[in-house]
Amino acid sequence: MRLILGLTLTLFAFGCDDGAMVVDDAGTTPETDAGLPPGDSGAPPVDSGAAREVACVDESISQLMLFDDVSSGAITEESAESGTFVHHVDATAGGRAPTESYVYARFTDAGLEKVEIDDESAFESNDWHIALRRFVIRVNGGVSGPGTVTAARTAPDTAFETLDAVPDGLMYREEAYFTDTCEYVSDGSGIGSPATALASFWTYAGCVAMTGNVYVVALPSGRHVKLQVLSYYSPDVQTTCDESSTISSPSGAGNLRIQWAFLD
Amino acid sequence: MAVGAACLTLACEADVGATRAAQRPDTPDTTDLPPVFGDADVVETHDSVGGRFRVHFTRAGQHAVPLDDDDMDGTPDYVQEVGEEYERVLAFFTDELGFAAPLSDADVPDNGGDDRFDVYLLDFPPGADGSFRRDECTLAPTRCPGHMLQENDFAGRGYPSRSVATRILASHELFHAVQAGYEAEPGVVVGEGTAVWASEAYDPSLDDFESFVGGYLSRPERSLGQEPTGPVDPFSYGAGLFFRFLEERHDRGVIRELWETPAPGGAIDWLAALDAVLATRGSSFPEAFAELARWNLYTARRADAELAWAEGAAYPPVTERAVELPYADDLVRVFPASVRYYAAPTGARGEVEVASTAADPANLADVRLLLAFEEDGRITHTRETAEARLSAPAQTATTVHVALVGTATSGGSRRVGLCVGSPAEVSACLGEGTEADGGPTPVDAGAPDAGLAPPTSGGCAVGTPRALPAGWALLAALGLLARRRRR
Repeated sequence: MRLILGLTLTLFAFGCDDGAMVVDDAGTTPETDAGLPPGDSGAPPVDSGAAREVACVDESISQLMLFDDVSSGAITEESAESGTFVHHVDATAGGRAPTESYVYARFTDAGLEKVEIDDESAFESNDWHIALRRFVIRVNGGVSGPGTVTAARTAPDTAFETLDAVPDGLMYREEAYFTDTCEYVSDGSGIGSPATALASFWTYAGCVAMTGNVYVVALPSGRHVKLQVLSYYSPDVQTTCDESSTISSPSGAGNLRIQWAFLD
Repeated sequence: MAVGAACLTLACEADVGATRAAQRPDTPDTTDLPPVFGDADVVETHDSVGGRFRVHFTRAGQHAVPLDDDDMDGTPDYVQEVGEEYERVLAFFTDELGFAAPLSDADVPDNGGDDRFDVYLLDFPPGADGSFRRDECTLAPTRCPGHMLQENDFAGRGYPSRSVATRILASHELFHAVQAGYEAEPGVVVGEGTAVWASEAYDPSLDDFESFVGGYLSRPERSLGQEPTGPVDPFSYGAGLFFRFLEERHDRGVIRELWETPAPGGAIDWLAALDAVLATRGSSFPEAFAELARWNLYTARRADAELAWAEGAAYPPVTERAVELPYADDLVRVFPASVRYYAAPTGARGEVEVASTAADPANLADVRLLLAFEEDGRITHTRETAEARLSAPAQTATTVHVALVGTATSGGSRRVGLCVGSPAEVSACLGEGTEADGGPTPVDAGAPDAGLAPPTSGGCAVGTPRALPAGWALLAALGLLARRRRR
């Protein structure tokens, strides 16, 4: 096939799901890794210096196209009302074929703070909770990083606004988009993106449409964040995509907007 | 040619099974991915004068072709042009380059009406303008006849003309059909890279190759053996540069012989197969790839047709990490068939040395070193070695380029440390000559990962920069230098 570069993804059948998962008892607090940064205090990140060795780093670097320079992407707070934040994350990373690292960030009471770290260094850092680039979002755990951040999708009818406690029965996942033998696990979208814990925030039928799924992210501190991705394109383009599976150009692709709040 | 894991066609992407045959786009109730003809479309055919191609088209609706018919023979001129272009391309591939023609679809039940190669003209969605789709395949090796889907009018596609677009598409996609006659799942990098190369070989005036080479030159640290995990990316197309190198440095026959060389295994095995082909020419993959690494410094303003690329001035510069000397990195991952480039001002150094280190000496075996010196935009002299240490006089050069060249054809990254500077600075970096009596200090074999001087505590630990500050040699000599350690 000969693709015209620089344009949006097209075609391809689709069907994301959350795949296999385990990790944590429903509704319980994941084991806290002693010495990890508090994750919600707003204090400057402190590297514990005792990061777990992450598996499949070679494969991650080469197959996720990771870089060793810090992303230029900024995180901007767009609203903060009653403890619920909306942040814009410039996850464009240079375009469809990324030329920059993921944008790394951590959840704090003061908002979503960017962690100035590059992809390769992130494999040794507990300072970050979440990494975003284009339509891929990873959390710091499993094959993604040395941390113990996990994520779970809530029930399909969960409304972000009314979710005010950690639901019972959630199945938390650590990142496992490589197998124990470092075989790559894609998300079933047909375009080869990794099967991350948050991969089902979008679906594809001509454009990257939002599913509206609400997730609970369990932090090493024991606290939980509810999170929903609002848009991948510019908001108006996203609305068109969600409603009609088409987009206009420029689309603003890679500009993620997420809303989130601490649940405890 | 190796059996790869990736697919080249939309049909393949939609169905993992290697033997799943694509339906034709005018097959009633086809379940194939778009573009396909609709039930209301009246699909006509035109057989090329040479007799080897059948073009399928419609005159109305979304997929309508341009209807100009200057010769008033009843067939749209563009449809005839497509047929004749494919004839010329096929003649070039078979008669000039020596490749076998694509497999016949005579035995395929849904074959477009006869054994001619079928080209369907359809309106593609944005983002693609052509696709080779496989028909029924044999197993082990996977060989397939197939058919072509091509954009119907190229309206709004940004090509200089419809004729240019057709030449590019016909030469690129038909080469995928040629490939499928040898091995239908060769891997995306070798598949797309050789298709871009073939298109350029067919018509050097086309700018497709030149527009893609930056995809490779911007990511030289990525392995040629690494398949993309998502949509086909610029690197895979840009890999055409490597095959152009093989043609310029050796001959066009290398690429044909590569496709003719059976090498069952993983996707990266095409590198091993190439090594065998190059052996027949007294070379090897490591030798060739090290030379490619040097050639890639001769692009853009540094182009020199006497020493490297014939058309290097038309290529963008290779991506390098800009550093200051002395420079050290305690862990550099050098993947197979990849290069890490660095560029630095020489400063007042009369001689520049580079050393690679590794706690495991096996990591050094497949990593070659290259030094190239630049003055006024020209490379003045180069040195390279398969050893772990290399130095050369800077002479009047103002910039030194350093490359770590990964010449392995398989495996994971080779994890090495890197020291660059004057010989004294490199000695300090390696922990040599730091004893009070001035005698050499052995490299600490127990040092993490790369065998560089071990990290220390103290006031130098902040930031762990890649480029170490002035006074670095002194700090190193005093054992005060903190180093970045990465896994």
